[in-house]
Amino acid sequence: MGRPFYLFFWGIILLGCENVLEIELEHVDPEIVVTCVFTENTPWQVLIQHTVGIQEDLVIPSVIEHAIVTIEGNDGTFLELVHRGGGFYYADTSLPQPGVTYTLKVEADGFTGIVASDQIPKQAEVQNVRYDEDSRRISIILDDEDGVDNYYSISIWADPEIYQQTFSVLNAELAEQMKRLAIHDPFTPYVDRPEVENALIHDRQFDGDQITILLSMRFGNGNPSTYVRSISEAYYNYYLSKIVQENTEGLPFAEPAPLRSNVIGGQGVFAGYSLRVDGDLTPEKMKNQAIGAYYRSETQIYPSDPDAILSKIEFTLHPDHSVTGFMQYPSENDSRVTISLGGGYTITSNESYYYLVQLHHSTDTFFRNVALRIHNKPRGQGIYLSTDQTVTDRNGNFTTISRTFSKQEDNGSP
Amino acid sequence: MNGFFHPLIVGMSLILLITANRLLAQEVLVSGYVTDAGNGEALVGANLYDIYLQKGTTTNQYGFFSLSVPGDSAVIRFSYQGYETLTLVFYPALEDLQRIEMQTTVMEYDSLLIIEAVEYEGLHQLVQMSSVKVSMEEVEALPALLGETDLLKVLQLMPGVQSGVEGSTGLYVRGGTPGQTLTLLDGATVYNAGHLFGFMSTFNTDAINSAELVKGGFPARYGGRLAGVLDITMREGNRKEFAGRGAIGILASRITVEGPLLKNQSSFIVSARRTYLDAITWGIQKLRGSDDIRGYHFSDVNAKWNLDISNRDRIYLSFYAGRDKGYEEHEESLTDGTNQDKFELGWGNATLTFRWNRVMNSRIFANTMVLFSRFRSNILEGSNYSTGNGTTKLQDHYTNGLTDLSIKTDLEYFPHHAHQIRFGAMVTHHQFTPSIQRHRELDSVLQIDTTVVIPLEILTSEWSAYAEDEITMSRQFKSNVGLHVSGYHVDGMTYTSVQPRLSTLFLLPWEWAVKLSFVQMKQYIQLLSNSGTGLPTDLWLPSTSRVPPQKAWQIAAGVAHTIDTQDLDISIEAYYKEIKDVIAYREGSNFIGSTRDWEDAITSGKGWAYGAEVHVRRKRGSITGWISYTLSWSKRRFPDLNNGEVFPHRYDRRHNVSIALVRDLGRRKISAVWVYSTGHALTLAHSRYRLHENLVDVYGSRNSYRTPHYHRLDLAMRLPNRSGKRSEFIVSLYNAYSRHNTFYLYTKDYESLDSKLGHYVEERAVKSFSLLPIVPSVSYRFYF
Repeated sequence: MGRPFYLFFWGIILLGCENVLEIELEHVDPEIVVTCVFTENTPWQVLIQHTVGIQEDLVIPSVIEHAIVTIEGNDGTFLELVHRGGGFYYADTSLPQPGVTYTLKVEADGFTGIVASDQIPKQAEVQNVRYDEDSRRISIILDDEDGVDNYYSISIWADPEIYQQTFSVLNAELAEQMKRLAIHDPFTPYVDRPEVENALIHDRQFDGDQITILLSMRFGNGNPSTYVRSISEAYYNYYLSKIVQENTEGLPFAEPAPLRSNVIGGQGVFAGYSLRVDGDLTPEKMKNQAIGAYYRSETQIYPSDPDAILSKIEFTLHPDHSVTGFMQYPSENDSRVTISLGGGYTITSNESYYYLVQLHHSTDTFFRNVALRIHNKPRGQGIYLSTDQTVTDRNGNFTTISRTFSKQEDNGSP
Repeated sequence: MNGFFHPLIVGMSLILLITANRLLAQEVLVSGYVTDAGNGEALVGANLYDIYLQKGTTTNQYGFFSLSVPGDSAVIRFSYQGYETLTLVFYPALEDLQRIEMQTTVMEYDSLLIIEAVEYEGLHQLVQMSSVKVSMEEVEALPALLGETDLLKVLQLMPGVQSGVEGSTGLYVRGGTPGQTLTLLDGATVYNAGHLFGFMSTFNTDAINSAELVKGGFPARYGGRLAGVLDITMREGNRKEFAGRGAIGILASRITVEGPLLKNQSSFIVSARRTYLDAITWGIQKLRGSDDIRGYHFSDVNAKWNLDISNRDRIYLSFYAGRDKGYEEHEESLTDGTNQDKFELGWGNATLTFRWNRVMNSRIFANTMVLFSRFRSNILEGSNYSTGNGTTKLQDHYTNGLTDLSIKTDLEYFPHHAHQIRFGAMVTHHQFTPSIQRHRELDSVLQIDTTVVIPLEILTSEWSAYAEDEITMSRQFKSNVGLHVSGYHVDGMTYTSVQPRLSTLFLLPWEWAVKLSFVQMKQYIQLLSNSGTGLPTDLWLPSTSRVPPQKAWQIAAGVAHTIDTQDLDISIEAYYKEIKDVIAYREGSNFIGSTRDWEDAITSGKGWAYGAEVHVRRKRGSITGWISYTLSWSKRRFPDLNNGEVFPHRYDRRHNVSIALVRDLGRRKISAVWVYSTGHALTLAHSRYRLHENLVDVYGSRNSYRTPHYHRLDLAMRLPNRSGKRSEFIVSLYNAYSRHNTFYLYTKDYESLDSKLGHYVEERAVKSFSLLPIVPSVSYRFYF
């Protein structure tokens, strides 16, 4: 994608030269951001953040900790969610059920309240899943319901992780054509993004047909587990537009891609899905593997700044998926600042589990949001957590901060 | 409305009108060609009128005219900008075609620096409104970026015409897009009129005779686009003697050779241009021993040939080809061999026109054309990996394009001095190839040769027919009534359209003319663009069963006045236009990667534009030029974009001012252009939040931000050679006060150490990228 544009810019730079001026934009009031995807018999967990003006620094807390969060079902359910740290609100007195329309309301001081509604769609009718060890190809056959807009999200978990090299959706008439395309196919039709790790599909091309979804695995050991999610339209729109936004980032002439949110009065997503798992690696199993204590020490974040060293960070994922821990940071006067972590997890469309934690100074000044991602560890050694961030300093140097947190029982005490 | 303008009714009324008029008394009929006495070149749009009856006409695109005047004699004055006026007396029973040769007004020191007309017909006498004609003399007199005279950039200085981003040649006519303006070169459609990513136009001014841009009040003979028609006629070549001209500039050089093949019967012209930037950069890169070689060049050729096969028949063959190519090569030595990577981006147009003019009789002029036009762009990416054992080749080739083949006949019928009737028909076959992908793998060791070709081709056909009558009821009331019908066939279905056209002129006392026009237009082929720069990634696509054709109607009203004593033309116009089924990319969609399912990547909506234009123009005197001001609005609404709410078009610019002046200092000429416009609209993220590991941008409503105001001053001076040789230097200064105009806005993220807090914070700033600072240049022009 970059190349023609690169050549284009190279072409115009021959004519002129870059001249960068800073421009001030008007202030826009912050909005509530909701992140909640829910499924059958899983406790409610809603992350409440707020937007931050584009020219403001992200140092202020961007989560809302004192919101009133309620969920009402059209079956008479009424829940008030409790904040359990890091902007995560939780309830397990009543679990989400399919076919019920749930309405989320969030009120918080200083913000416009939001409303969002969605329900859990019917489970996908997976007829058969086959895995061929020689070709490393997985085929999933599913019956699409006729006359209804169905949306699917499909991914595979194996040990350690799944990478889908190619991805295509077939129905009988298209099989021949697809075989030709499969050789080198950057523009696979019928799959909105043939992303590695993730595929979002709308059934408009095969409504009511039986279709075969082909995936091929490049890495991973053992039998894969397939996750076929039947997702709501809101879920599909939000995550698809997120992918589109990521793909157009940095292209000055591409039309910008706003996220398509179903949250009225705010941003984010409140969407249901139902999951069909074929294989051993259930979500519960994977989450439970992550429970335990983690540590990390001695990470130099900025090569250009030798003083910026994260001296030590320790935290524990608890069985209820809350997170606690601390962090030691050598500040200018070399006093040790302890930073606590809030906790909770959220799931994205591509089956990664993120623990969004916040590191606080003891003085309650927000330090940084960190998203911790659970990985399966290579060769069956369990699980590790990592976080990646790419930042640019004022000199234009790019740095990727990559932190890997090891489980304490694997490597002994820190 | 369509029923009212049924073609039959219109045709019948025309016949009745004509017959009635023919019954009148004796008349003098004069017809023929008006040409330049020096080189035999046709004079397009020359005025001729009976000085007593104040009735007249203008020559058509081929220099032909036919005028009938009641009475037993006619005293006709011929005038043309830059030529000596000629007055001739004609009597009845004059059957032969007249060959009127007009002399250029000569200046002592240099016969090629043409000065202004002594007489010409003012704007207030023309029915056609919303139209501007530009002569190549005007284009060459004004400052040009890097000395490359550019017709399209001069047209951008006209009221109602917006330019896109800085430096681009796209014409945004009255809220339309460049894809809604039909560009005709000798009748053939030019699909991409840009060189160098749209920064230079493909039209070589040395090869052009005349150009007219119509922005509204379209006569029925034009169709197929919504916003504008740019009709360019190539020169025919000197019929009297061999001649040539050329120019040497910083960026490119050009040369033109022309002359008679048979004196006064046949002539030719060949004009060529090429850049040499790549030669220079190639040398520099070689000297520096660089592994990467990058280059860019463009070239174009115009050629035309004509022959009088009889007194009444003339044939023409005109040809245009242009090509741009950018490339990048990288070579590296590896332990076991070498690897060569290659990347190429190219695009180009070619047109070929065969034309046959026939004067059927003194009242009927026929023009038949066979037209070919082709646009192609391609991207090639490949690598060659060679070791002692063999070579592995990998090549990906991507092409998109469009090929047209058309047949067209136009007839002009001059039954009576009060009528000028035109009618004709056209059939076009379009072959769209939005995407051809070719993948090739060749491994000489493993003996594998894989070639996969995935073509995507759409064939469509388009036809149109029209009839129009320019009626002169009296000197005070003129009208052009017409009807354009068209059809388009695709995917086994047919779209049709009936488009009424009407323009009228009422002449008020004190020579103020009031003009009104109403037009309907339909466009079957569409330009999908997301850059606004005329990049080759702009894609021409057909309407299909899923993507309906675009439709528009426009109403315009205005006044025009000519102040004879000051030679000033004043025109004030207002317009309102509605566009249906205009297309746009869906949010986040992009050319690359979406061609196969392009119908999914676009969405249809509605647009409307309105505004007012003021144009004051002086064509004669020691100071010539114009001042134009445009106040305009251009809006869009798409159900799928911006939550279905109305948003401004990207180039919705409220105010536009252009001042273009040429001062004649006897030997030298200096010129200046100043432009000002409101910044263009764009969408920016106003907020963000963190989602998992990433930051998500929250956008304001579409195009709700504006770039800063745009303004720029260009200066130029023409310095003819003292020695009497026919040559001159042109010194020009683009963006004389080096204003940092915004090319695009972008956001930049960085982290910085906050010394107060003792830790790092993330920051984001919105920045403006400016393209062209002050750019001086000098070029040399010569004639032989």
